[in-house]
Amino acid sequence: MRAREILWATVLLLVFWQAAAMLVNVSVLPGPGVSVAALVYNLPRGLAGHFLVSGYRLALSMVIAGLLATPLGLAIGQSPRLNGLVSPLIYLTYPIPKIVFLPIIMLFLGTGDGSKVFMITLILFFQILVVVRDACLGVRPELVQSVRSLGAGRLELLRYVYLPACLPSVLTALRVSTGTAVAVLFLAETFATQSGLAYYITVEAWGRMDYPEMYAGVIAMAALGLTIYILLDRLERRVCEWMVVQ
Amino acid sequence: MIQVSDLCFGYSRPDEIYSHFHWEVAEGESWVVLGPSGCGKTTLVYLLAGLRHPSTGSVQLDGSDVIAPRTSTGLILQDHGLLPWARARDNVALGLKIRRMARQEMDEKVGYWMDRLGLGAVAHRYPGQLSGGQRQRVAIARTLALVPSLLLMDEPFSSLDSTTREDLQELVVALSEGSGMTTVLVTHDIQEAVYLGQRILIVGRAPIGRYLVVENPYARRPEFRRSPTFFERCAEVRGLAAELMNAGGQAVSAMPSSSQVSS
Repeated sequence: MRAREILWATVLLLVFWQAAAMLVNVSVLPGPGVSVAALVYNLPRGLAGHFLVSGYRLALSMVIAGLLATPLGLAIGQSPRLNGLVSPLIYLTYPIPKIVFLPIIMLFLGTGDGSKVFMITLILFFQILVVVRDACLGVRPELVQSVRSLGAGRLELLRYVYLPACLPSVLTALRVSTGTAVAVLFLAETFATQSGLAYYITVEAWGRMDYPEMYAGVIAMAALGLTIYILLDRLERRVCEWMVVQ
Repeated sequence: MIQVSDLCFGYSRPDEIYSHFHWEVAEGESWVVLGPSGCGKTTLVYLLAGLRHPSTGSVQLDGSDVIAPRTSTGLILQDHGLLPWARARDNVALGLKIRRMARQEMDEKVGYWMDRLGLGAVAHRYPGQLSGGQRQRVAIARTLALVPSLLLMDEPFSSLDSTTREDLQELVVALSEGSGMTTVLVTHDIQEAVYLGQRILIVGRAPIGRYLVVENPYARRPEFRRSPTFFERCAEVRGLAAELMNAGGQAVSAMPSSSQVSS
């Protein structure tokens, strides 16, 4: 997606927002102008700090999930025996909504960053694991045989075939999971914490019924998700250039 | 060079693809294995390449059992087997990288083979940006850069248009002539078999145990492709292949002086 197209979509959304605000004309839905003014005012007054804390939790979770799930997915995808052992476990646990474990995780890991990062990591881990495994299983046998015929052993196959084959899937999984990750972060940050954008929105702003400030927090959270989404999109285009060239 | 003895092989029991199959290839010979689609020709190439192993019997190259891919065997497949995420140049260098060749030597070799196969202008393109013929040229360059003594080709030109196919057939002839390389090409195309195979192994439906060998001394000469003898030989090979198919793998009674039945 080009910057101009993103800008155009943003303008369109702001127009819809303004129209809705004018139509309902209630204090709980201030227009974008008031909300953006509140965002600019509050950024140096604590909002930027909350943004950074949430960004740190989100980015750390994504990196950990990627680093744990990718090698395991590669191993399962290459070994029919391991696949036979692990796949039933994945089948059983993948559809379970992991968010229900949030209270238990908080009891074990406390209310600090650990429980929030663990919760998001857990959800992303399964999504990445499944796509990496499937990407490995989808590698054409002819390609593997062809590279094996050049003298490639297990390590060379991993380096030259399986890893590059699953890289687009890892980045796509991370990108499409960004929305889920932000949603989980929002929920996790509303419990027993004093930092993060969700805390800012629900406790600091909503608690005082300061609606423009609340919307400033919402804009910051949307910007956080969008920033990560765009960064992953750019990274995917860079490292998977072969998929986008004509 | 190649000695296949009492080979039995199947992907699942009791369905065998090869049943007590014997075959010998001398060094420097150019063989074409001709048979219908799905009869097990690709399996034979994989067995020779060390990518599959006999259930019983043996496949030997230069007196040693083939138990894994050998550094001196090259393999070219129908779908090229190129890495979609690597540029043409990196695909050509792949085998050399796997063998941990020194950077400078590798660059020289890759440059030489890219130029020899007319790929200089597309060196930085990905396989998805190349035509079918260019992709197959990259696959050929990648294999020949390893200087194999045995070149195995599994229907390498079957997905190409006729002009590109003839062009690449002649390229393979030019590259292998005088190199002393033994070549085994698998195809279901009779004209390709007659043009490229100095000896043609005709096989029928699986299980393959019996086959016909056609001596074809005029193969690989550019003028042969346009001569009446070529078309006569094609008709002869077509007739023999049909007889072998109709015989259901049993002995074929009628055979020309240049052919032999083996079991």
